[in-house]
Amino acid sequence: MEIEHLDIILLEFSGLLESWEEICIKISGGEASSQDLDEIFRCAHTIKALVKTLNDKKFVDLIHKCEELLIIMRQDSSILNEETISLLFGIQEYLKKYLFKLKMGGNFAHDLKLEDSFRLQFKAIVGNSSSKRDSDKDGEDAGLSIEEKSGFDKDGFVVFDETSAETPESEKKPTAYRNTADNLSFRVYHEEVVNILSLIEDLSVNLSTLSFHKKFGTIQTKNSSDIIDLSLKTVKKLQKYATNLNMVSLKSLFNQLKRDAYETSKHLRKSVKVHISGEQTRVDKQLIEEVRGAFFHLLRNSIDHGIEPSEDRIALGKSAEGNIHISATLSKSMVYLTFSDDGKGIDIQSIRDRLYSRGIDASSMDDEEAIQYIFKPDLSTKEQISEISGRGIGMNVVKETIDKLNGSITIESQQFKGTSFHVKLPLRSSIIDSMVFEVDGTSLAIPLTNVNQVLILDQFDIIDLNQGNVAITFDHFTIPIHFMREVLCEESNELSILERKNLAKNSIGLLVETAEKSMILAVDRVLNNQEVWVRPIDKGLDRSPFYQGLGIFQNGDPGFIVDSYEILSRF
Amino acid sequence: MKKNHINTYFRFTIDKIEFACDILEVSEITEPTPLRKIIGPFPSYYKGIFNLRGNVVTALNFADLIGTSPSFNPKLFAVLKCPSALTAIGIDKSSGMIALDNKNIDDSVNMHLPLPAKYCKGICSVNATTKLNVISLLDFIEDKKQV
Repeated sequence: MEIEHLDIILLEFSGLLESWEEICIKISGGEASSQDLDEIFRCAHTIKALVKTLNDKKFVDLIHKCEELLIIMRQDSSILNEETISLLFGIQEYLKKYLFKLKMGGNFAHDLKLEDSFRLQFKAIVGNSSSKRDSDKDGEDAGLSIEEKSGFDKDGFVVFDETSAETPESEKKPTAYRNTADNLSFRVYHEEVVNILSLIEDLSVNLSTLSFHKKFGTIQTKNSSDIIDLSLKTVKKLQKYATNLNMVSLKSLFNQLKRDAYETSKHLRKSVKVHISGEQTRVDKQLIEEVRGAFFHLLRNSIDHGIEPSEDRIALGKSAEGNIHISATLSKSMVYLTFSDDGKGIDIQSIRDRLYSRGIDASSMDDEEAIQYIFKPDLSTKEQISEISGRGIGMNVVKETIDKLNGSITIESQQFKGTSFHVKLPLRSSIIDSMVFEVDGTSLAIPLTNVNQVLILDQFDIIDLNQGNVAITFDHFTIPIHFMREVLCEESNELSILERKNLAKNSIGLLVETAEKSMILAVDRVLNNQEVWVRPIDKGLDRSPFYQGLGIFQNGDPGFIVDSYEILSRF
Repeated sequence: MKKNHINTYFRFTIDKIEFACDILEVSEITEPTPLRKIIGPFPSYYKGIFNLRGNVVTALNFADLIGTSPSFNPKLFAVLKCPSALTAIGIDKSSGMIALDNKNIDDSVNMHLPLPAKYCKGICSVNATTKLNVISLLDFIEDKKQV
């Protein structure tokens, strides 16, 4: 069946489900206000209208039953328990699946067994409610429709007494920037679109003036230079606004983390409260998608291994409920995120013992240095075999994910007091702060975060390494030198050791490293540091694994962006 | 028997061979721009990249691709609308657009082109002396990129 404005319906549906989830999270944290309960009813009611438009009678019936529960919920707070929250989360999850199927253009196969189980749960919760029992007894609600019982009009809006009608705060707040479940569409602020259109108009006026002067031969250096300067300023503003269009707030991700914390702590029978700050911080939409898995791991790790069971916490003089703080703040071009828990902290002695058992002498390491080893893949920790925090992603993968996004992660921990992970990420994935260097007369870029240090190799003693390779000693470590040209061309120069040493002496070394290893990438010369605009890589050009993308440099030249992590992993 | 169907083609010359491809495969014709060299395991027909109004365009030597000539001194670039990214091929001459009737494209003759048959649509005689080699340029380029 062809449905008019299906895309708009689905977008609305998606936003409503996000609000639904948000309120469920508030309820689970005991933070829901009466406006929130009104709002979740409004969500359910509007969703009912939408599924009616989509002609799905089964969902209309199911949501109608859910509305009854939501009405009782507003009158009887005793039913705001774990059972009800799980049921509301369950329905939201089921509706999300339905929405996903609709977006994919397929037919949804109703899970009748699950729907029956939802109905039974509704009945049980509503039946146990004192409010329901009282109203049944009094017969006050007899003959009233859902809308009348709820205090909402038939469009799902709250009906206020005109004399006291102050719009509730929750209604006033803009609900823009609800990220949709998939990546097909998202909402943007109207003001931003207006700004962009106005700048495009400015640009058009400037260009048509230039074009007029060109046509009639009246172009003068001063005039055209002024117009070009003005246009460049406009383009810069336009770039800023257009980039902002692709920025979404972290609110949606943080809500999902809160919900996950609820599920995980329930599963582990732990009491945990998640505190969020800076959720309005806006970052590149793509970036959120890419770090999602890593953030979920950090959170689950804190609940699973950081937060102690309530009885242990009380014995330690802590609150029975564990606390996890997730915060986001912005600097110029980076976003700083912190995941802190007030749990038991990391047992550094146990890390030292593990290192010792692997033949690594950690005695000269300070705690800060030793603790970084939790990012090593081979340092087997409990988390890697845990069902909760070890779902295919370990701390090494968290670090790898963040490194690949040209960010960084550091850790602070105090035994019995807690652990904090500090994540630093670039605000936008479309612009990378890079170092531009030259190899064989070709300009290439490498993200600044990948380069630990730039070394003038002439100042070092170049030593022989096995199999004709050369290296330097730096900070008491022997670090192999790899020539960037050989790496990128995937071929080896037929050079003698002496020639290789000479070549190295005439090169600049970029020290790159991961938690596992370090290497020097020898390049001809370093040009400068600059912002590089990332561009998609053509199919034929992706045959080299050592490039993470293409970029446009500040002088307008295009060039490859080198992926040092890929080089480190293959050499 | 072929049905009458008139289509617009872009007509160009490389190494004195006249080609025609569907006009919808071509985005624009540009003057040759200085190319930036690329380092990596790329076949010899990858000649470099250039910036076309903020898009990175890959330049290929079509003559080298079909094995007629490894030298690359294009007079113009034909920028193609490849699905993966804009791609340019160097051409010697652009003869603009031409409307060809499908029924006049003879796919029964051997085109004698060093190009796999599946990319050769046929030959169309424009006049007594000019014969156009009608090809599926975009498909050929896209397939070559995957090799």
